[in-house]
Amino acid sequence: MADTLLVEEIPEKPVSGFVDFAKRFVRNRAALIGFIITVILVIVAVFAPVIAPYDPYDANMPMSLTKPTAQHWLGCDELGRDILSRIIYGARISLRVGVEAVALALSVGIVLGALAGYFGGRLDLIIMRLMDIMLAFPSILLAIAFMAVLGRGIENAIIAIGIVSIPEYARIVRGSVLSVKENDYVTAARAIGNSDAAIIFRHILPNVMAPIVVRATLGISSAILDTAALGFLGLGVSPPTAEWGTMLGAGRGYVWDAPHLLTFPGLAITVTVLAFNLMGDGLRDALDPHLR
Amino acid sequence: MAESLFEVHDLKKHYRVQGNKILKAVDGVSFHVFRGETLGLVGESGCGKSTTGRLIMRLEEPTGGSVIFEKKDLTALRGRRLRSLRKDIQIIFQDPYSSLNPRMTIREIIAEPLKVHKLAKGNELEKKVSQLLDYVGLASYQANRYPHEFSGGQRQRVGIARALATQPKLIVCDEPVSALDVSIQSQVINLLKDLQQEFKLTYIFIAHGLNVVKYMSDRVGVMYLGKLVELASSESLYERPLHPYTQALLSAIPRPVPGSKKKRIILKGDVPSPIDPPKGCRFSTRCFKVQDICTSEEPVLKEIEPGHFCACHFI
Repeated sequence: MADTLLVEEIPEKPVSGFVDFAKRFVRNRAALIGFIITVILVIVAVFAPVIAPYDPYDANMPMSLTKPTAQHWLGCDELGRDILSRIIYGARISLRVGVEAVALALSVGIVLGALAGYFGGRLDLIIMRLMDIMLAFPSILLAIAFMAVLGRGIENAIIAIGIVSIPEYARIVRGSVLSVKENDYVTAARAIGNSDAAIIFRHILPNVMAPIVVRATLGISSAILDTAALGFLGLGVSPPTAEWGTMLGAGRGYVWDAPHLLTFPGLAITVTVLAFNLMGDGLRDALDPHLR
Repeated sequence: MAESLFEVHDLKKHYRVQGNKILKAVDGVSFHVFRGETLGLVGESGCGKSTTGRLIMRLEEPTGGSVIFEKKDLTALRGRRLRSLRKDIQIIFQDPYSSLNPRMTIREIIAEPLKVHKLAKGNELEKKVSQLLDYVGLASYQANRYPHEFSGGQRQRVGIARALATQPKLIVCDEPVSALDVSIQSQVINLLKDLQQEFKLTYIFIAHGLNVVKYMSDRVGVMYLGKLVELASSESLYERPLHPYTQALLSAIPRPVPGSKKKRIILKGDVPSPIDPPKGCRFSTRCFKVQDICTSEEPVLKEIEPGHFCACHFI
């Protein structure tokens, strides 16, 4: 083999994929802002007991419906509870439901989508028609139905919102698997003697991660919106738990007398959803192979 | 060379396509391959040569026929037994860019077949990987890099190292050089030849470049529209092609001799669709020797001279 000379040169220090990705992400100002807001939200949620100025469940009737003051920056609600503290504690609920619901939907969606895409045929038909049926219902309506069956509570909200978002992930995963499995390295993996499971988990799934990560980030924001919607309808977490949607629902009777009861939780939802959407868009731009 | 490593009998692959029609990609191909030789398969795009390679590998399910590899019928094997036999038959792909998993390092790619078949682990695995890299002319310090850091020729070497890892008996080379630069082509071809000698490999060499096939192969099979039309030793086929299609094909090789008088045979029309192939001889619609019998009766592959097979009514 000595007669086959190697003349091609290899760069000494290759640029790692992650550094490349991070550079592109940071260059996108909107995505960076979204990322920073998200980090702040996570810090606020984790350290809520330290940061919150008051106990969010401490009713103080004389302060009922107080407008924002120096003591209560965002005012007090109908029971005299400090709204800022409640919003800070609400971040815990929203982020938890968002992340866990997406995790649930992702794990089921990846498995279903990968099975449908990889094996195709009748299995694909059955799985995807099932997903189509779920997609035919407005997701919030389906979530309401699940909540009605499961009862209120944060775990049930996670399950309901998780289940209704399975089809989105299953579809994305299936589509990506369909295109990736045409690559020769998948055929090579089979020729080597890998089992189907090894081919799916070692060779296909790592190569479909980019679109899934993007979709999951955007999915967190829609899960947060859904949680708020359930809370507003009185179907989410049970009161008196501080949750943004529930706060909106409770405050809607005072919209003329004390608009701050609605304004601030509403703003919290908007900013959070916006942050995740900006971050998701930034991730898509940074991970999109077509721009490379 | 008399011992045959494996035999293909009446291999068929039919696809059901739109409108419930049947596309006959491979339609009754039979041949055998001797231990240690290189059998070339040539033909135009869509003639079924790549599909034949994939059928032999059991990467696709044949519609009919059998592949006998060392007395075992591959087409009857399933699941675990098929997977364990895969270490004896490996494949080298055409496109070095899609044949390596972009998320795995070169080391992981080459080590994978050894791990799957539990042939080595730990230090021994490391040693084998560097040995394999050495065989194909890559340095072991390159093993921790990812495929995108390599050129096409280097990637193809990685693909060859992966195919060699399990010490297979047969390697199907599916157009291994047609995606490479001409200068790199000869390197890879010579590498394949060296490895064949060193490891007593048997190759099925699928290609459309006639010169490359001639250089590589001991025997050559010519395919047309899912059928084998001629099969002979390399010299015999290139010196005395019998089938009209082979004659036309060979006349298309450019000759580097100025003023050489060899006449080019120009075929009329295009390759017919394999969905509705012509009745009788499949080549009858384009053949310059066509007679009535050609459109009614299908010629069989028969031995004209010792070792020289041809499927034509007039030979």
